[in-house]
Amino acid sequence: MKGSNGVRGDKVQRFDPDGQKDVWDGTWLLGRVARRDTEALAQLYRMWGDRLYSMALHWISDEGAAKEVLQDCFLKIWRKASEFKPAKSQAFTWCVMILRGLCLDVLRRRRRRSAVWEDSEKMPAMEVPDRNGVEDLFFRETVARVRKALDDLEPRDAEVIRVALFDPGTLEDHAERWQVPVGTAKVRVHRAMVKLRELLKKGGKHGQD
Amino acid sequence: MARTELDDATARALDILPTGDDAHGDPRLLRDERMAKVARDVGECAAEVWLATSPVRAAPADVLASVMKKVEAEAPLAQKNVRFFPWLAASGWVAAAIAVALWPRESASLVAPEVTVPVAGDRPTKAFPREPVELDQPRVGGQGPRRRREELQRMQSRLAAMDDQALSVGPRVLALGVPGHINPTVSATRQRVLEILKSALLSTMEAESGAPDDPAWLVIERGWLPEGLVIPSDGVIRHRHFPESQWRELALMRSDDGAYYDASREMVWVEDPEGRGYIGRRVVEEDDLSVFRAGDEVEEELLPPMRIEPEGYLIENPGTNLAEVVIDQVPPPEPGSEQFVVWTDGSGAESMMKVDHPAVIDDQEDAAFVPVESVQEQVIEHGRGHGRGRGRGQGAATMVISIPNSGGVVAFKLIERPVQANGGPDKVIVAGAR
Repeated sequence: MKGSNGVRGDKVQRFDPDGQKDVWDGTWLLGRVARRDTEALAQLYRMWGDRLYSMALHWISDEGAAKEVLQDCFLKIWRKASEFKPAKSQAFTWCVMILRGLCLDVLRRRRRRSAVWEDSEKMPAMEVPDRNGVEDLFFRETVARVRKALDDLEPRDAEVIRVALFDPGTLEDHAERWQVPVGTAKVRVHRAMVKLRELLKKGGKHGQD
Repeated sequence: MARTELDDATARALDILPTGDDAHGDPRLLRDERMAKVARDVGECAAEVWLATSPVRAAPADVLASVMKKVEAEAPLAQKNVRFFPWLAASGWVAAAIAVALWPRESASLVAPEVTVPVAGDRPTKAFPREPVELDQPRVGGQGPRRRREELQRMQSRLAAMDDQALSVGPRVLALGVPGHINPTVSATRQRVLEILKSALLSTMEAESGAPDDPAWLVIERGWLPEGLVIPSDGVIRHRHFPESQWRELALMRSDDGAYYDASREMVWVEDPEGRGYIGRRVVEEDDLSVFRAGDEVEEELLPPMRIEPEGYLIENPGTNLAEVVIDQVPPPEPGSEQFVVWTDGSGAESMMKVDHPAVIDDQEDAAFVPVESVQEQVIEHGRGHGRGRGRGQGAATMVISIPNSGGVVAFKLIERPVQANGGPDKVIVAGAR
């Protein structure tokens, strides 16, 4: 995201004493993984395994399934690292999208078996949890920006984003939930995401700790 | 730019497009720089929100151990996974030839003959004659598409007629190469035999163009679909020379497994499992179009280096005393020269026979057959490129030669010498010896 440090590792942006930010943003490690370096994959796990596992657990609320998803995610990273293009995506975002796809698979399979997502209350909350004083050193700035952006977001847009990001349904389901045509739901999601992006950008410029 | 495209790009990036939504296959969403930027921004925003809203938990240590175990086990497995079985189902005579070539001598009894041999005769779309053939009769070498096809049919019959007992004796494979070549490894030998035979098969298919049993609504030899062509919803199109190398220019999208998607015509192209080019059909609801990626999303393939040196294999079956020779990239003879095969059998006796290069034969398409005494020559194809990334030398051809009563070939070579002897040494094209 232009104008912000994104999720590439805030610590690096602040401390980067030797210009090795690629080491920390994962690009360098993914390059090594693409060359079949197993140690690089292990390093990537140590660096981002906690975050990816946390996200999976948050999405699917099932420790066993989250573990499986985490494992599949790193196996997929291993197999597809050569397809990663730094010009098109940040390394962390790329990994998150792989994780997200796997979580969606789990959730959509479940959804076919039960109506769990008909109860929107079961969807994960979209609020930044209290860290109890423990700062996430790598992503501290990202967390702060997201917290501020979500605070500033209109409730209606926040709900649209929450559904778009956490509900495993498609726009067809969302449109039905909102009782609007699919095209309208599409526009609604896009506009809400644009607003979120603007707020995140603003937080990046002005809202830093 | 229409508003809806940005909406589509956002929805696609979040993977929330409904099944069947037109945006799934819209190549603009991938190619247009602005769309790509929208997708990138959406992905990063979403990742930031997901990250920040997830309570931090430590990743289980056993997951790392499990991942590393699987990853370290993967590499050797991949190497073991030799992909030749799909080809066995592809055609009659090639399958038979492959069965002969790959029959494991040391462990023949471990392989159930019925697994391999019936496949050779089980070609579903072509019923080749299965009558017994005389292996020891001198053959008549004939060329031209019709004659070549007949030759191939005979060859198929001959190979299919090999009984299990004969096969179980096990073939001997002799690698042939240019002078000074290094013998390839066993796995490399297998791979090359398969490539050569597959190439020959493709050529055979070309010779059979217009086959009455082809269910294709339209058969395209070369080029691309004309604008405005209306394809029936259940119509199938066969493309014999699908322009794989030009998929970007044709605005196609490609999947990792080598299928192509033509968004403008809503068509999916997949490789014909029988080896006859590509088959195109209209998109159906079950198709997962998200697997296709546009050209700018796929890195250029590193094509294998062009191989222009002739090479080949002599596959001898002691059970039938028959040697089959496949030589690829055989250059045409120099003007005023002829080509010969020379082989030495187990008793030390040397035999020599003139062979006709296809480039020469094509010039005499309707010439009378020329009888030969003990060599059966099958010229499979020539002068056409087959297979991805492989080029051919000028006029180079693949030759398949059968030697009955081979008697345990210990040395074999293909040579070229002037019609008028000039005292100079023979030019050795390929040679091999045990």
